[in-house]
Amino acid sequence: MDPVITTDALTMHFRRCDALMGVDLSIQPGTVFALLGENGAGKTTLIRILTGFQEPTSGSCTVCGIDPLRDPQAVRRQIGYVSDAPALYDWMTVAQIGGFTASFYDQTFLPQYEAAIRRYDVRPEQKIRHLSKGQRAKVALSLALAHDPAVLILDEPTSGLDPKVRRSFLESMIDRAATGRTVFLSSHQISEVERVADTIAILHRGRIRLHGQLSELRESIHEVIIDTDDPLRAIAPPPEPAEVLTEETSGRSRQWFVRGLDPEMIQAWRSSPGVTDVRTRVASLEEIFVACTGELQAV
Amino acid sequence: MSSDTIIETTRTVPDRSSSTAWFWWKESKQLAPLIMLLIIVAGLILIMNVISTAIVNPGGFWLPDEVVLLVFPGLFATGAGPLMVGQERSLRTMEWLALLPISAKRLLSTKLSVAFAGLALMWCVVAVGIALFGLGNPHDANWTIGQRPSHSDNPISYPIWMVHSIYVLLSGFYVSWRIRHTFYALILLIPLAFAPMIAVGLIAAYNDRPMMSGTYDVLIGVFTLLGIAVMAPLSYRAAMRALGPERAPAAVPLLELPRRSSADASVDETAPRFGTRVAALVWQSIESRRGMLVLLVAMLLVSLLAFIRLCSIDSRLRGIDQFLPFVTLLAPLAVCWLGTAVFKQDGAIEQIRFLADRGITPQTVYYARHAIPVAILATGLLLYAGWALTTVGGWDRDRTPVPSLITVAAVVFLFYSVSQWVSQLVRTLLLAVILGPIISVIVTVWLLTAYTQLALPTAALVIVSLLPLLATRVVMRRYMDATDRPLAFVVAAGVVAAMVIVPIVFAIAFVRGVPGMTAEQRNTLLAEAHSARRQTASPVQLMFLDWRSNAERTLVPDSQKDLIEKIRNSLNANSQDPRQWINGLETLRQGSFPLQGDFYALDRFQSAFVLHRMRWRQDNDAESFERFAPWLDTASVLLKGLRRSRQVAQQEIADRLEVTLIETLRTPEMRPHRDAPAVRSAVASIGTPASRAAARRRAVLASWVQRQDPQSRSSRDHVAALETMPRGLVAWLDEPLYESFVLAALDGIQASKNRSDDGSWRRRLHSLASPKGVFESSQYSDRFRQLPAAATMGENYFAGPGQLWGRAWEYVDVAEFLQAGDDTTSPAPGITSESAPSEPTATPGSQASEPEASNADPSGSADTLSLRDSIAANNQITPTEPIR
Amino acid sequence: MFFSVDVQSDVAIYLQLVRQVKFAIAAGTLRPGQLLPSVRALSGQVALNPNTVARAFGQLQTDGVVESLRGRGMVVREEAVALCRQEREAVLRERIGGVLGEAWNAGLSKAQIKTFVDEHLRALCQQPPAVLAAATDAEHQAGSD
Repeated sequence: MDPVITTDALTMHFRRCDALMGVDLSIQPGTVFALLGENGAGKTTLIRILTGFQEPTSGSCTVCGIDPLRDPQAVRRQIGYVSDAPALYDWMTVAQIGGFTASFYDQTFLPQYEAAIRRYDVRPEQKIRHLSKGQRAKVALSLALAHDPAVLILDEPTSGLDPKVRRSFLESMIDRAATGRTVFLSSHQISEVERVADTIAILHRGRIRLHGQLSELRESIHEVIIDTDDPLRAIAPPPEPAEVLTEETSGRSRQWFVRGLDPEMIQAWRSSPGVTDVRTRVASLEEIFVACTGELQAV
Repeated sequence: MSSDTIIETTRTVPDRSSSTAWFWWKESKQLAPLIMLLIIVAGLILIMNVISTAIVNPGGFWLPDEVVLLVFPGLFATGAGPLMVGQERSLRTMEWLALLPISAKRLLSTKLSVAFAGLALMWCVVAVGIALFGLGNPHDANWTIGQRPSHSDNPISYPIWMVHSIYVLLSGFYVSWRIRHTFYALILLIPLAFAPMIAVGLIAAYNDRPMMSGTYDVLIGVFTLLGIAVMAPLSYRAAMRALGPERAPAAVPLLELPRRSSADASVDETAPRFGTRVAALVWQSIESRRGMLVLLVAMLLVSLLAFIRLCSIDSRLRGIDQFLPFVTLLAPLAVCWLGTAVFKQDGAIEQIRFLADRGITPQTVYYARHAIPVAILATGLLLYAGWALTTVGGWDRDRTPVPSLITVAAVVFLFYSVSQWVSQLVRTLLLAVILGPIISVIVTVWLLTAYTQLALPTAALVIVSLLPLLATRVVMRRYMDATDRPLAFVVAAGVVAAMVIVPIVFAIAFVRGVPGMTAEQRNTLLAEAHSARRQTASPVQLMFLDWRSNAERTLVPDSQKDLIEKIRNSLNANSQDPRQWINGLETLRQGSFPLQGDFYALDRFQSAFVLHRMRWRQDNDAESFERFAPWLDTASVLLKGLRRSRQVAQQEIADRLEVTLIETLRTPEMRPHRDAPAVRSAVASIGTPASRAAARRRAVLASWVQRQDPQSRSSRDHVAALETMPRGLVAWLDEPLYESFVLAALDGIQASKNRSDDGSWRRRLHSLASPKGVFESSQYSDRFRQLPAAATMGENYFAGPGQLWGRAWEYVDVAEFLQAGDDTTSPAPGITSESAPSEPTATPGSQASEPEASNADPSGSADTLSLRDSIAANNQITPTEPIR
Repeated sequence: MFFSVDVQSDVAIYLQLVRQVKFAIAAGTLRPGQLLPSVRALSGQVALNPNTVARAFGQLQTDGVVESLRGRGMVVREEAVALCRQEREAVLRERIGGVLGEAWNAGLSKAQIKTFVDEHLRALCQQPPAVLAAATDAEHQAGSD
């Protein structure tokens, strides 16, 4: 199947920093794609380029087969976009903004919007100014989803919201995925990402550090703790094709995050001189994230 | 709208027209605050006009209604662009709007259409207003459309105004699309909006000739059309650029600096260190709006320099200098915007809430936010003061007046105070920036008018000016918590009420402080006054026939005549026979007409009379008396006529004439002639204190009543004290002051009739007639009144009526004096020197009179003696030979 | 039935789902012939990616625990009960082995370990087990010695 979003060597230089330095992505339709990264890693810039609000310095991308630079309107017709702190018209009521938006789409928009609003328990006659943050986010989500977009792009939509709202968003994302639509999620909530993502990518300093199926990644990265008799004892790193993501020492213990671990390597370490114990554990996504975005990089 | 109706409407009409309808609905609702602003401004101006013309009477400050109406399209055109585009961009709702399936062209065209529709609506309102209220001035037309003259004396015609407003609207859109920050966009809009005027001004400056208004008009129209042609594509391009994807910055670094991602920022930079909390806040308030502060300081400096240059020009403004007054106007605008910047800058609300979250007290935040603008203003005032000290301003026609530091400081303070108050009340930056200056101007004009014309005390002015600052301080805590809305408006209503009511209250108190008559007094006196007035027959005017023969009227200019010759000619100028010289004597003698003349006429008669009297006294024989007798007779006739008059001024003239007459009769030389018919008639004409009191009373009351008749000339008479009253209250104070005068005069008349000691009426008359003088050295003082009446008669009447009332001359019995034999040769006191009125006539004044009597020069006359001797007593000058 | 998923654990999420379904069948909470909720419904209920849920169902189908019924969804097979019980026993056996191994590697002696085990067993035999389905008496009796 044709990927629904592709980027090709996407680069963005700003005057004071480089937001993106050659990003290659390819997102399959019907999946939930999660983009993880620190604040300022370039996630929002990437989304702005994908939605046609920013022109990249170099490189290209397509969304649903359309180039956002050439035809941003067509791209935006295909997607639904919810950002954090969405800017809606404060003075309108919930019903009014629904009606306003609905007039630009077809007939099915309004009933779906109404249903969503009812489901989220938001009163239609309230002005948006008087809604809480969570309710605003729900209204923005309803507006974005009511026209059944092929791709739903979420840019940290639940930052600062209570768990109930986050749960609503999670359910919406899952529902979209279950009906075969694509979800592009940029988030910090690692626990949510672990539940809901099919594919993840970790963006660190403008580059993609990790990209793959979540299940594969989780299975392939292990935390290895080696206890030695002497803190200065040297231990040989695992051979290819294993990859050490980070390394940390504390007293007589050494902690490695290794990708592509083989049982033989564990045996090899166990039999190394001066090694008292070797323990391994599958790394959690949070630990993977920290490992990929830490300073002590092996690469 | 309920959700059900939405479903109904959209299900049945699911096409483009409904989206257009929704879009128009949204844009119109976004314009609503602007319309509200316009209505408020127009309402404020109208209210100010009404209050000002009602209270400050006459004059006062008011704007022509035309300006009020023109406010609507002008402000609308200015604000539409920033409100519809700039605000959406700064709130980021434009981005959300761009996510909907609306093409950029459609978005732009809808916004423009709504704006133009609004503008057309404004113009219709103006047209209706002008037609309905008949505004404008069709007579002073400056231009014609076709054959029909214009409707006003505006230098720019209405059609051109319309075109200009379209241009301003387009420019507003352009700057809003180009510049993201609303404030800077507005700043750019100002020169753009005035560009056609500036261009035409430059052309006029180049020609160095004043332009005819028709040409001016046409040229402005041409340049405006040019402007529209330029702005339309520019704003379209700017809109397309703003709505499309942001361009990537093209800068390529020269050096290969290590690549940093935005995540690396901020930790390496050293944070600034502050000693105190207030310092940190002040630093924040500078850094967060540095650009704006720089801009405003630049405006202030430029304006100051323009003003300095303007004051150095002492001729008509030529060439490029014609723009200087307009550049000077930037300063008050900058002051207002400094006030606006206190509470309304980008991120100001967030900054304040940020501080609130950290538990910083509202007081600290308040002072920190005011610190920088106040500092800037104080520096500006210091610079102004420094320069003003070195300049001499003037009020010549061509010179610009240099206002004093206090005036400038007061105006600056008021502007700042009101602007910062407005900026706390109004939610959006755009409205605060527009509304701030307007309200500041209105409030300042009102308060300064009250101060100068409505007797507002300085302390009250200062307190009222501080009220807006106090209001913002009071609301500060709530404002920091974003719950200020109801309280802020309540407080605002209070401040407005105070500003309006306090001056009015003080004005009322001031008016009440002037005591007039009580209602009963007025009623009783009015009855008498009306009857007094009713008895008046039409007066006869005192007129002189100029009998000088043609020979005397020479053509030689005065400077070439010999001085003595001149004096001799003038002395001989007046006729020997008063009956030939004065017109209407016979009428006066037969009938009982009142006489009317002014002081110049009296002066002329009196000098002639005294001259002839001197001649008689010199010769002192029967023949000279025969020549003098007609003068006596005439004087008595005139006196009687004057006494019949119902005007206070005439009674004063009568007093003076009577003093002269008494002085003439009370000399020993007159005794031999006491049976002469002239003398007898003269004695008869001299009245008693009672008769004089009656005549004066009639005159005072009749004058009072006649003043109230708007058609009579004397309705413009007023008490001199009125001129020192605040100009705005003059209309209210006129009547009470005159009533006080009437009461005081009546008291004085009564006192002089009864010869009583009560001098309070004198003080009152003094305060009414010459309020700027000191009582003890005035004509009403005891010391003055002790001088001989004749000596003080020359003092100007303008110092007030009643100077001669109740003085010793009134109580003299001339007939008795004349009948008295030769044993009392010395003239009884009362003429030559005054004694205290309470004492009987025959006493201590005689002490002063005796040396004069013993020194009496038989060839001199008593009057000159008294005058000369009193002067001599002061100056040690020996009397000289009388002039023949 | 209700699932609880530990996102952080070493075990893959879908495997946790599979195990919980099997345990439920073994305990009798899920009976043969009972319909499992659809992928969509279940993923919404547990807030998990539908693909994960689908994978779990696939695994269950492969293991022969459930079968797909046309138009109705996944239904529990008759033979599933025995299978699941066996699996549960295997899992429990492994767990006990793991605990014993941990105790052994920590340095406890065999006698100590045995004492602990006997202690616990004695306490447990006092109460009836909390199993829902009737276990065979034989197994039960054999274990109470």
